[in-house]
Amino acid sequence: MLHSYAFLPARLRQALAASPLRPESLQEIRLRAERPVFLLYDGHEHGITEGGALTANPGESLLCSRREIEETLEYVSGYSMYAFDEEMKQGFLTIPGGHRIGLAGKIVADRGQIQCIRHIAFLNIRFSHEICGCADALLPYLLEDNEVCHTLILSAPRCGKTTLLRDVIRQLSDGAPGRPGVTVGVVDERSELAGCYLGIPQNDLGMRTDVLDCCSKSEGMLMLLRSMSPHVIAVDELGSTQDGYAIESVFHCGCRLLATAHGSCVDDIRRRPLLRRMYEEQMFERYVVLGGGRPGQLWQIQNGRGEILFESGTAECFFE
Amino acid sequence: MWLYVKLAGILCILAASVLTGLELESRVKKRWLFLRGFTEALRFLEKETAYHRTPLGEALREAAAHSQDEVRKLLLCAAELIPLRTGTTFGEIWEEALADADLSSLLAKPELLAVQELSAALCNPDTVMQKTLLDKYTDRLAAMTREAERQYKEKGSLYRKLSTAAGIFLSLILI
Repeated sequence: MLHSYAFLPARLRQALAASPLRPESLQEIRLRAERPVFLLYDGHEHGITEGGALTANPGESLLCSRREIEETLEYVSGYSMYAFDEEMKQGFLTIPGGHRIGLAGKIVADRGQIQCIRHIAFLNIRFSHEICGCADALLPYLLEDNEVCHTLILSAPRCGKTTLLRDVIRQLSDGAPGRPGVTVGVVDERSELAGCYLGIPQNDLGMRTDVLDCCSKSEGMLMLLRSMSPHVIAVDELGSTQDGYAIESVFHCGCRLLATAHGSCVDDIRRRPLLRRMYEEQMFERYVVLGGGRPGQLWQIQNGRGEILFESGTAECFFE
Repeated sequence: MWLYVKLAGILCILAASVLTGLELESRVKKRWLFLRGFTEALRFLEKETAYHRTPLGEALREAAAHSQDEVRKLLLCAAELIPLRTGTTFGEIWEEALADADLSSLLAKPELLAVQELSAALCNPDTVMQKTLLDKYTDRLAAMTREAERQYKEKGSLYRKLSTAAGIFLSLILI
């Protein structure tokens, strides 16, 4: 679907088909009613002309009409927007391939609860690019006596922590010669790890992975513990204090926890009450910090006592 | 001999007139039955989409399974076109299904227009508007169904009687 762009309106589809851009480098397409179309390609913003040429001049870019926004919504929802009510309340839809479409428009709320989004006039199509094997070099640091360490992956936004976590999950789930695969439970609150479409993960998370899609982390972790007997639980974007009780349950049940959080260094997490407490109690056994300006660039690995196991002075990128 | 020829001719005229009357009656009846079946299908679709959140293709297929004749054909055609026409709007898919069903000889213009406009109610990016439109079109088609039923009851037997009478009259003239 990524290569055919079948879910896009006809004009944009034709422009993309005619353009020389590489689909694997296309990160985002932004559609706004009566505004130019913007692409995030290779980390830079571009417009796109009717002939498919990338342009830095917004005035030359295709103008997206309101009708084309509606057309896109028809295609991505399989002509069934009503069937995606719950996802719309979260503000996004997931389409086959694990790609995510962020929605913005008029919010209809009732007693502070979002009921639906109407008059959707802004779409952010984020393309999912899983990179199998990007955790190859990292994985040995996350295992001790063939057991998975409680691990927290830290990075600033768009530095690849979700992509890395995805591959760690896959490798643990599938196993390798000399390392049996383990059951992994994933709480995919924002549908970014598995990218489930109609319940089926669009990204490869391994053969022994169970996914709770669009479920809050606090409830999801407890549900997995009660019903799916995971060996490892993986969550994305840890940090809310509501997750504290569930995380403690995970530790007390003997499960291993893999998580990500925003932060450019280990010191950053001490500003958040939950993560500070976890750091002081040495609950995590590994801290993996990504950074250095390029997605997937490993900066540092620490153990729970703050001892540095790996530090990079030069670029060591997992995504190449 | 001549008498036998006349008798045969009278029989043919009577048969033609009765059959014409029956044909006219059945057209009016078919129109009523189509509108009735279509309104019921629409109510079924409303339930499937609003409460069960069934994807449209599947909902159309389910509605077709509960319908008959032209209604079934129309809904099934639309359901089958959905996976085949990625990159086509639902309005275009619905138009194609309608063209395939060829309802122009069955329905009057306002009814045909209402069925055509239904695509905006069946597939709308605004879920609140979709429910409103579905309610509106269901009520409108229900009203058209009642009118078609009234016309069938008034005109159906009238066509039959008139055509039979015309057949008898012609026969008498020829005698």
